[in-house]
Amino acid sequence: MKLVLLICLLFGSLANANDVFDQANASLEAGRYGEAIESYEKLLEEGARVSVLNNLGSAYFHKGDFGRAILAFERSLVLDPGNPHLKKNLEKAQEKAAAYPSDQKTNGFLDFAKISNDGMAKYYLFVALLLPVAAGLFWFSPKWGKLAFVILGINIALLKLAYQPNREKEDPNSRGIVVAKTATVRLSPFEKAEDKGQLPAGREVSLGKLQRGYYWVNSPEIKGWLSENEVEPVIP
Amino acid sequence: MPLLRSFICFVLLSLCSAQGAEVIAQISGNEAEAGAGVLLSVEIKGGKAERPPTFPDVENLIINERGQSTQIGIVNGKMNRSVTYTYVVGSMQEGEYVVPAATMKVDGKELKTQTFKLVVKPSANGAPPGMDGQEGSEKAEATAGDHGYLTFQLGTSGREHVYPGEIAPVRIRAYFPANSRVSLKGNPRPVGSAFTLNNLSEEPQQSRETVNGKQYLTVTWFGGLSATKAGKYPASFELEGQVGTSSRVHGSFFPRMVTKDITLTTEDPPEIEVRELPKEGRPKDFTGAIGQFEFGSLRVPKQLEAGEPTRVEAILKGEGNFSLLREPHPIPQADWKIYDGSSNFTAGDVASFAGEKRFQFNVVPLVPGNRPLSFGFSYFDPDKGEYEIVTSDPQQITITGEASVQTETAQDKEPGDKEPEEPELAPLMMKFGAVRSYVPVAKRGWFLPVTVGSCGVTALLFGFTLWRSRGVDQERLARKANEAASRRAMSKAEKAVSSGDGTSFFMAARDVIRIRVAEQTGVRAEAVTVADLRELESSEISEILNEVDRIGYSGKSTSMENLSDWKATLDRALVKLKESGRKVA
Repeated sequence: MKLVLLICLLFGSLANANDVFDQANASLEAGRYGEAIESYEKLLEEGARVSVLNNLGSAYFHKGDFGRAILAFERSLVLDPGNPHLKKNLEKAQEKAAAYPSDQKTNGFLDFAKISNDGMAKYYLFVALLLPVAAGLFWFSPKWGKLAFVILGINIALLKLAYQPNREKEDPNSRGIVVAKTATVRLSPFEKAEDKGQLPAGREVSLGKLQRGYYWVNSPEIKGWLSENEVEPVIP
Repeated sequence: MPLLRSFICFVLLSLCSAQGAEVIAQISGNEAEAGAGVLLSVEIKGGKAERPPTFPDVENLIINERGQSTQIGIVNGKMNRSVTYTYVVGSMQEGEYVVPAATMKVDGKELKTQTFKLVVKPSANGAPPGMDGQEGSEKAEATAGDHGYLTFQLGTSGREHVYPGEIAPVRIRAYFPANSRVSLKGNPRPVGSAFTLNNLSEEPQQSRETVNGKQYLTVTWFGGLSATKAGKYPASFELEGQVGTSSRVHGSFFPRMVTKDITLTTEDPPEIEVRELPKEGRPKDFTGAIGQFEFGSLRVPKQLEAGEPTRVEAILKGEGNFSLLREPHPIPQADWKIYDGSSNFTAGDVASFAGEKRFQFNVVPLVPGNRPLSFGFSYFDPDKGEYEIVTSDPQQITITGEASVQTETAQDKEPGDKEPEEPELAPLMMKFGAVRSYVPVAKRGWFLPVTVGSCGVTALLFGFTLWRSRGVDQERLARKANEAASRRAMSKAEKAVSSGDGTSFFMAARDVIRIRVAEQTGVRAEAVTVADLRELESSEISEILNEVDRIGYSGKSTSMENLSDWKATLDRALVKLKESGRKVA
């Protein structure tokens, strides 16, 4: 009985959330951006959805808040990395905010650093799951088993090669987006500390430790402390 | 007589002092970096200057008075007075200069110093292009407060508009009263949110300047001003600091230092229009680079192979936002595959506005042939207000091999080709979708148990397979059986010794020797004959075998005391057998 009640509640809540989503979309299409943003933000409290993040980004974009639009599109791409629509939206918002991604250094032709961390994790998992299969083959036929172990050995060597460039790669958890119209980078984590310069909305920074409500940020132009109200991590 | 001599000396000295007004000019060095200076001192001895030294104007040469000092000394009852004027001489532009002779009037006479040569070299702290002027559009000090004023000069070549993302070089200069003590609380910053200040010089230049006859201590920063959004906004800067000035308190002989917190703001900020980058004519390969750029150099091998990566090195130089300048691409792009490479920027000025960027990357030709090759890139020229496409001089190259993929060479898309008008954003997503997790796969709860469990299962399976294969090893089984038989026979021999049963002892001894020999030769114990044992050339073994024969034929056993000796003989025989076995191995 309790289970039935729980399922009913779950479906009821989902149907309600779906309605809120539809209403938010209608508000956005009607140009009521503030209303749409409020509804999308409320929906995100229940869990992150690609659709909600994409539409939230669009709402911020039309409202002219390109920093938060970029943040929403970046977050939606974390959930759905290969989505071309999301990539395009992000590029448009970056273009509007004049926050083009800076030139990233790469490792040349055989570029393991290009593999996403999730891609690497899935590869690890694939190799790990194949290991018992190879051991099983070895049980039934040592000849085929040996071949399987050689193939796996090559895979493990590739993983070893890819390990260092990926370790050196920026941790996606440390990426942040400037959301304030103009964020002031300070010398120390204090409100009255000397300011070192400004960063515009939408600029991507590398986030360090959080201290007294200030993040240590690192960008190609400037390094220093930025108030947590002015920058948000891509992965919340 | 001594009196006469003293009188003559006095007259001579007096004459000397009347005529001896002299000027000595010294310079601290003949070389200086652009933006820095050398010290020039002009000392007037033995006379009083009616007006301080003056210098004729020399183009681009800056001569700023730094101060004046007076030295008074009494030697042999005679007072000597000298006045020294100090100047900082330098230029913002490199070149060879002649520091002109200073002229002054001393005791009614016109005096002149010698000239000096000064070589001004380029400096890493040099000003960005277009920032060499002394005053430019900087505000005069008409509205200067008691504690100084702030000016700025924007290097936009007379333009009154900028573009989002463009970095316009800016020189910000703060003027403080020369006799004040200044402590800055930070760097200048833009007022409002329309502009950001980037790459501000870490070590501002300091100098002394005279403006309208008033001496100032000046602090100069160079940086890049960037607009964040389109519209019309006033460009203004502010600077916080503390200025201490000395003032004489009533009734006190010594002046007192009075400090005050100040915020200098540029007066009457000019309104700057920030224009959107035009969509019309935007090349497909535009990456956001705004400024003026050109090829510095390009290195491409003349022989290439289709489908094989080839290293290309290109240097792009110019002025602008280098961070958004990407590597040039071969033309037409459809015939090539381009891989991201590495890049390195070398700033040409303190604001990182001018400089050069070196790219190293790989390209893969897809279509073989013998044809000229050009590389290209695009940027937006803010002065012209239009996009520019830059192509390198064509180089004749030969691409061998076969076409690796079918390409759309016929279309020959050039970077300047106009793209069809696109909608602003992708359409809204109408499907609600499922909740997803931001947590990466590697950090999810199940990832570690699954991978570790999988490795564990592999180890178990592998170990069990090895253990199972050990069960069917015939050689190992035979070796183990021999070892057990040897142990049993040895035990039987020992029991026979303790019970005094000579017959049993010798039978057991023969068996032990046979088993040990079988172990060493890798044959079964039953296959080893007495004849084989006799061939071993061991005296101990021969003695034991003879004794076995003797007991067998005579039926008489050995006494109990002798059995212990025979046991020792057996042990020696086994040791020798073992040693001979090792030698054979």
